[in-house]
Amino acid sequence: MIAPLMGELVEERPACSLLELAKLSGLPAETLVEYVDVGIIEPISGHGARDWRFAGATVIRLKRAERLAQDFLLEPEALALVLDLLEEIDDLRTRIRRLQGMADVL
Amino acid sequence: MRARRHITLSFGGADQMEFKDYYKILGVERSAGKDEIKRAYRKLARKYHPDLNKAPDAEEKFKEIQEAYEVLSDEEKRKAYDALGPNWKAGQQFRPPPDWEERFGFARGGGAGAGHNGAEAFGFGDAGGFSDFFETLFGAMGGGRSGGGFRTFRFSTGGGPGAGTRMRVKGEDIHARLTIDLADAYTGAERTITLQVPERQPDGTVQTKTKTLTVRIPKGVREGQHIRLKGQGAPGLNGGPPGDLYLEVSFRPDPRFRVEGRDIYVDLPVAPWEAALGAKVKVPLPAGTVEMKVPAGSQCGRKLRLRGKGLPGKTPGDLYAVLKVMLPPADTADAKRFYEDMKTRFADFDPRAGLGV
Repeated sequence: MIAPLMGELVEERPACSLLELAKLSGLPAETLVEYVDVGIIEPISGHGARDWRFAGATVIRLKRAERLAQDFLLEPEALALVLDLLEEIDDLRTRIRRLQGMADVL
Repeated sequence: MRARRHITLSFGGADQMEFKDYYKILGVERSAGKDEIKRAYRKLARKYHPDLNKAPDAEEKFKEIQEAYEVLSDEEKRKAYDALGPNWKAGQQFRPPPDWEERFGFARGGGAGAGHNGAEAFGFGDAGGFSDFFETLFGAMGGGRSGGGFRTFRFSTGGGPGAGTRMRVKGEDIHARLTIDLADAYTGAERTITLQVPERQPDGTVQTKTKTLTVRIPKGVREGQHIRLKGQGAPGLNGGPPGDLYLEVSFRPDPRFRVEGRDIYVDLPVAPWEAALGAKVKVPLPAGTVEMKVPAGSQCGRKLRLRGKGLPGKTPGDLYAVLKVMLPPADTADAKRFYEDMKTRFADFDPRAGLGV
């Protein structure tokens, strides 16, 4: 019996700095700064790049962005929009599922 | 150019080789022109891209669409595919013509990874994962990528090298979808997953290897969250470090429970007298059961909260039992008499008073 791999829950990671995010995502810090400017990612706190903090889930959004950009040839601005809309759809879907269940009861 | 494709696990049956009708997959005529094929591909890719479509079969469909496009968008491959003739039907048992290799010179691939039953993860990472049918016909060419497709734009500066580079390069991160039961998230669990990991060879081609891992599912994980397994992605090139594996968690649908964030909702059927008079009833949890008090005078749809019985966490979620009053059927003379009696006794009761009718 091999010991199971203990993964890390990305969304529950403590917030990280720009340089940590660069290391985690494999993207150069300058690229990440551009992405912040366009809105592909957003720091949760900090006024300048040096003290920006990013939520753990940011790396997931970056990866999704990378796949979508490659597969649909999206410009960065459009990409930011698509990502926002997809996240909103995810939220709405979850709520619909719950409300649908409630509607079935009533 | 980097060949990035979504990969999907096979659930057994990988040895069968069935004919694939690439024209039918893209929904175009055999006579379709290049632009028409590209349009059809783009439309289907938007519909089934695993980042846009969360349906469980979307990934499988997307892979199929990509495979079809890989062949039909490449003049050489399309010519060879067309030479098989128009009489093949999708799903028909297929064996390539004996003179295939001499005629078209696509060397035979090493065969796709074996299918594993019980696998739960679906991967969409880089390359690999095309059907045995594709591998057999176009094996050695599988790693390359025809031009004119979607993936000409390079978003990331990390990742794959051009063929022939001697640089140490970190392996690709792999993204896979992991479906678990709500109970696994409720209590924590261990799951064994099998996935196909693309390994880039120094000559630029990609081979798929099957990998089995036992993973700890952290207690309290929520749908849509990601488990990162460091170093379990694709191996690096020329001594570079391996990439990471990201498992996106989704819950296998359970008709009893709905989950929102950390809160869990369960429909709780009760008898009319339980709702009216109050009762102690058993409520199912994702793992186990709990007893709950239904207060007297409860109506259908009433939400009763069991604090802290939702998904565990630093602030655990709550479990909401939504009451659903069930009427006993009036299917015997005795039952009918009872409802008639109720009618007289509740003569003043107007359930539609609020409707103004």
